[in-house]
Order: sequence, then structure tokens, then C-alpha cells
Amino acid sequence: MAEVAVEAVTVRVRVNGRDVVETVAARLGLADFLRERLGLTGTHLGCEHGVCGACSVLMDGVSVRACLVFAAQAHGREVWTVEGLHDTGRIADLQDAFARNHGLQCGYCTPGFLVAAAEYLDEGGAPDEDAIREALSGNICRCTGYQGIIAAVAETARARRG
Amino acid sequence: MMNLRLARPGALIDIDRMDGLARVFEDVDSLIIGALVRHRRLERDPLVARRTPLLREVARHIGHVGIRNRGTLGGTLAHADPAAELPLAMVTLNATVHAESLDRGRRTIPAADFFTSLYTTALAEDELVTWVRVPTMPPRAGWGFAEFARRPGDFAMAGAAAVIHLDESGAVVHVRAALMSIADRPLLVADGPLPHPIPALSSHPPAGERGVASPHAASPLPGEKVTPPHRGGEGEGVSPDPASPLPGGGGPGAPAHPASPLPGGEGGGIPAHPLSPFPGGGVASPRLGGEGAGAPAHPASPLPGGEGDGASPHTVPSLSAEQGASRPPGEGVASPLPGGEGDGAPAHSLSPLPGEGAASTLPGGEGDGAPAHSPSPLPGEGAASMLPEGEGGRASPYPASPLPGGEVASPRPGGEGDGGSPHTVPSLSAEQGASRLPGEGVASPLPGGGGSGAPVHPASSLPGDEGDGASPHPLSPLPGEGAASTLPGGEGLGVSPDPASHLSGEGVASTLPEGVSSHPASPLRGGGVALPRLGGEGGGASAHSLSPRTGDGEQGVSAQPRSPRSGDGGQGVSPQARRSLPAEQGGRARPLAVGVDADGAGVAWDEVAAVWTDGIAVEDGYTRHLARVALGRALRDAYLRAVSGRGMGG
Repeated sequence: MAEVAVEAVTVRVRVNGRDVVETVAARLGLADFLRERLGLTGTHLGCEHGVCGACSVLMDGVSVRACLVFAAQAHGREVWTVEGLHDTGRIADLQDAFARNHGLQCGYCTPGFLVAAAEYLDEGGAPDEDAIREALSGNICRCTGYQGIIAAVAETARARRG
Repeated sequence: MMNLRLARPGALIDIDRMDGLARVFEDVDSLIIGALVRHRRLERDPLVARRTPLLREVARHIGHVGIRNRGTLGGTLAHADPAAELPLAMVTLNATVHAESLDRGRRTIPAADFFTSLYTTALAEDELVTWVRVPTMPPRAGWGFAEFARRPGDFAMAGAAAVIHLDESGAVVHVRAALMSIADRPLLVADGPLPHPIPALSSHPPAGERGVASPHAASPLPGEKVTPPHRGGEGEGVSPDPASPLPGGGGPGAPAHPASPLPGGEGGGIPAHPLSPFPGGGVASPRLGGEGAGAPAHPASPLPGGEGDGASPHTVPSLSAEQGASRPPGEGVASPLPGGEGDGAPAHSLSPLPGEGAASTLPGGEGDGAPAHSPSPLPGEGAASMLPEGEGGRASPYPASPLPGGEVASPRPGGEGDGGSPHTVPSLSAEQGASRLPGEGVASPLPGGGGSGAPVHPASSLPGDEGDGASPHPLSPLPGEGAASTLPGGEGLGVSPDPASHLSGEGVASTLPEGVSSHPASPLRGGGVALPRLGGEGGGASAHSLSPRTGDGEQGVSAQPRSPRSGDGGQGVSPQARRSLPAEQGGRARPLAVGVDADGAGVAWDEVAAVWTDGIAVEDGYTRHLARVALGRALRDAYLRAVSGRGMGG
């Protein structure tokens, strides 16, 4: 293996509506950047290789695995984490539905589910169970059995469609 | 890869901002796709869906949304994972990869030459994948894709993609197919005409083909006609079918029956004949039975066939019952045929494999069959389905064939089924399914054939022919498939179609729906034959089992099921099927096969898949089995789409 150079790069990224400029190691992951440099620990790291979906964040409007994206790759882009979605009230209805439908227990996977569901709902997703399951198929939950999560997203989708 | 430290590149260059490579251009006969186009876009872009529908389909199988939002075409090609979908699709579509270096400029590399080994490509160290030129689907071409993964989004344990080109007469002139997860790179297993002896074809063809012809002849004709019809309207297909069937039946009808008989006659030739004797169809079945089943089967088949005669009996329940019983044996084979399907659907599926096969068929038929099938059921689905329609037609068939037993049976089913809606039968189905199946298997075939009644006959004929061919088995196989396919086809694709078909009432037609057309013909044939095969195969079965696949594919199975089901809920079946394991699916596979080419010759796609997968060195038989099933489904779907004119993704 070749020596992996440790270089520093300056990253300018808009996180949750706020511009951030940080100089980080070139190979620092976005999830670590958000959690350790910006203190946004709502983004959880589960598997760290793209399988569990717990680290999902929105980058330029679409969900991505923060563990599979380098912080440097977020340069010039707009990132939204679960904190930002919460603070702006964008997913208040979704969060409420999760609580009422037992969409979470331990809560570890919840930020990822909220982000994935937020993307689905932002795209006008229908309250269709199959479509919701497909949209959330990249997120793993070991507590709820998914039923409550699916119900919460379906309920929110119906409500948003009036 | 880097997270797991499996890759620790000394230098990393982010090309994410080269927006110029994130575009898709449309050319006269191809799409030019940039290396930075995301999987998510391939999945949703209307242009991609219209011009290269295979890419849209495979993209949906890549990971999950969050992965597809980031993954790029150039990335997956350069990564060269032998279990990845896009490399498989590019090899199958005969795409050309454009690689560029600062020093040497651009060069183009055929996808089949681009992948050299595990995670290894023909790219030089200073080269970057920039564009990929993907030939688009021309008229009279169809595509198919199927994969087995333990969970949606996981890397596939096995998968296959195929593109089939037809000439103006509807005959298969070129097949290009590849497998994934079975070698150190996407493995191109076909790039030319169908295998000579085409197992299935051979069988049939022989017969079918002219040799057999007679039967076929009959069928063929019918078939052909049918085919046309199909095409024409499949929808109408029905009519066509009917026609066909009829034709078959009728056409043959008169003849047909005779034909069937023929089969019988022919068949007669052989054992089948005995069967045939019966109805011709009977024969067929017999054959099947005979053949397929081989002995047991025979018995069974016979049954079927016999049945056919017996059939009538069958027609009912008896059949079922008996069949069941007897059948079973027969079925065994039969089942296989049937697909065992049917039944067991799931269960079958699996086990069955053979059974399944049958099942599948059944499934189609049965499972659902019930519904539609019911009639079909018999027909095993295929037939059945077909039949159904055919049925109407059948009726005649019956008359004619019907008797024949097999058909009859089927017919019944169908006819009846119809009556019962077949389903009614469901029981039948069920039974049939079971028995039937077997029976069907045979029967079906027959039925199918028969079912088709006329059509069936054709089929039967085939069978018969086949039967003769006996080569039943051969036939069977074929037949089986054929049948299966038919069904499947019908179904599979059909699915939608099917529904229609169903509607059609065409029984056949439906089935055919898409494939339909084909099917119709095929059905017949297919049916006829197919089943046989099945039966025959049945044994092969397992393979067929594959059919189960049908299940698989959603389409596959589902489709089938559905189709059959149509009536029912197609899904019903499908779902199960699907859910069932791949295995099951496998079982269903059966359906796969069938398809009839312009010539009306029946093509047992799963048999063709076997020819192209048997020589591959694989560590375990299960992987080979999955690859074969997947390939059979991909071929069947490609054929049906080509026949239905939906190859372009419409």
C-alpha cells in the first residue's frame, strides 16, 4: 500500500443554513466532521461503511451516507443534518408522528430514518407502504420492527397532501 | 472500500465537480452517458427509461436510495465488482466505454473487454472513464434482467441480463446474454443465434421445426398464426390466441385436434401416442408424462395425457385427485411441469422445483390458476392460461382435444375452469396445481397445449411431437418450458398483459399477453410443449425449479402468478412465490421457458439457459442453479418484450 498522505484542506460548506469554513484532514469523513468539528452529534455512525443508514444527511437535497463522503467532498455544498431539520421545524410533523406511532425505541437509528423520510416527503412521496419501504430500505432499525416507522411516514405523507 | 481499509490509495482526486460528465446525450442509435451520472438518475431519467430500459431496471437493484444518490456509472464500471449490476448491463448491451488519458487522449473499449478480473479493468493508470456509449433498443428487440439477492439491495448471489433481437417474421435472430456474480467479471455467455440444438427447440423444433413440424406444423401454423396474432393484438391476442389456439386447436383444430391427436398421432408415435391416443393432447401429455416424467411421469403424464383423456376426467378433479396421486408421479414430472408449480407454488416451487416448475406453471395456472388458470390450471398455466382463452377456443379444443384429454383436462380447467373459472377450480388449481400440475405439467402442457385447446394441441402437438421427440423429454423440457414459458411468459410479462390476457379471456391471449403473442403460439406450443417439458424436465426440473423464478422476477413469478391469477390476484401467487425463496422462484422458473418464435417453434428458455450455463466452472451447484434460473427468466422476458414490441421500454 502506498503511503497515505495526510494533507489538510480547507472546506467551505453550508451546514443547516449556516456557512462553515474549516481546515480538515483531506480524508476526514463528513460524519466525523459534523460530529467532532461542528458538534452535531445527531448524525450517528453505525456501521461506518454505508449499510445501516444511521449517518444519513441531506447534501444538496438528497440523502447521502455521511460515512461514505469525505468532508472535502462537501465543499461548496449544502448539508442538512437532523438538528437543522428539527430546528427549522421542517420535520416537526414527522417527528410527532414517529412519537405517536412508536417509530423509535432506543433512538440510535432515528436520525437516519428522519433524514431519509424527509427526503421522501420532500419529493412528494405518497402514503404508499411499498414506496415508503423502498425509500427507507437503506436504513436499519433493530428495535421497532419498522411497522411504527412506516406508519409514521405514511401518516405524515397523508397529512402533507392534505 | 476505503472505510474498511480494503483500499488505501496514495492519492485521491475528487472528480465530483466535473459536471460536464454528469450528462446524458441521445444519439441516433445509442445513449451517451457521462461517468458522473448517478444510479438514481438512471433509475428515474425518462430518456434512459425509453432508450435503454435495461439500465433503468438494473439501477433499481443497486443498493438503496442513499447509495444510488451518490454512486456513479463511471465509478461502478471502474470498480468492476463482478456482482454489480451496471457492468453486467453494459456487457449485455454491448456498450462501449470511453477512457481518456492526458497523454494519449481517448480510446474506446467494448464493455466485454473492459472488465478483466475481480475489481480489475482494462483502464491504464492514467486513464479515466469519461463516457459510455450504450446502444439503444431497436424495434423487434427485447431485454430481460433477473437477479437473486438475499435481501433487496444486497449484492446478488446470481443474476443475468439478456437482449433478444427478432427478424421481421418474429424469429429469434440474435441473443446476447451475460451473467453476474458467477465469475470474476460479467460473463458474456451468448452473442449470436440460439443454440443449435436448442434443447427445447430441438425437441420441439425438431418437431416444431418442421421435423416435428407436423405437430408443430399444426401448431406452428397455429402457432405462427398465432404469433402473428399475438403480436398483432396480443391483446387481442386473444383472438389471435384464440385463434391460435383455436387455430391451433382449430386450425389445427380440426386438424388441431387432429393435430393434437397428431401429437398423439405423432406422439402416438410414441408412447405419447398412447396418450395421444387420447386426445392428441392426451398424447402430448402423455408424452410429457411419458417423457417428461419419464416413466412415472408418464404414468402421470399419461394421465395427463391420459388424462387428457382421462382428462376429461381430470377435467376435473379427478384428475386432480388422481393426478394428484397418480399424477404425482406423473406429476412428479408433471409437477415439475406444472410447475409444479403451481402449486405448491411456493412449496412447490421449491421442491417442486419440478413441482414448481409445474408449480410455476401452475402457479400461473394454478396458483392462481386458479383464476385464470383454473382453466389453465391446467394448462398449466401456460396452457392453461392460454387455454383459458383458448378455452373459449378451447372449447373447441375440448371438443376436440379435450378430450384429448390433456387438454381436456386442461380444457376443462380451462374450459371448465373457466368454468370455474378455473379457478374455481382453484381447487383444481390447487389440486391440479398439485396434481394437475403434474398433470398439468403434462396435462397442462397438454392442457396447455390442450388448454389451448386447440392451441394447446398445437402444443400438444408439440408435445406430441416432442413427445415423440421424446424425446418427450426433450420435448418435455421444452415443452415444459414452453409451456411454462408460455405461461410465464404470458404471465411474466404477460403480467400486465396477462391481466389483459386474462381478460382477454383470451386465456391464451392473456397469457401471452405479451409474450403472449408468442405465447399464444407458444402457448400452444409452449404450452403444449412447454409443459411437456416441464414434465420432462420436470425432472430437469429443478432447473425448472428455477422457473420458479418466474416467481422471481417479480415478473417472473409474480407475473405469472398474476397472469394466471390475473384473475386472482395474480400477485397472490407471485408474492408468495417471490417471497418464497429464490428457490421457489426457481421452481417457478418453469414458466420461463416458453416462448414461441415466429416459426411457432417453442423455445424453452430455461433449457437454453442451461445450455449456456452448464459449462461454466462454478464452485457450487447452487450458484449455477441460480444463474441458470436467472438467465432463463431474463431470456424469457427479453423474448416476450421483443415479441410484444415493448422492448423499447414502452
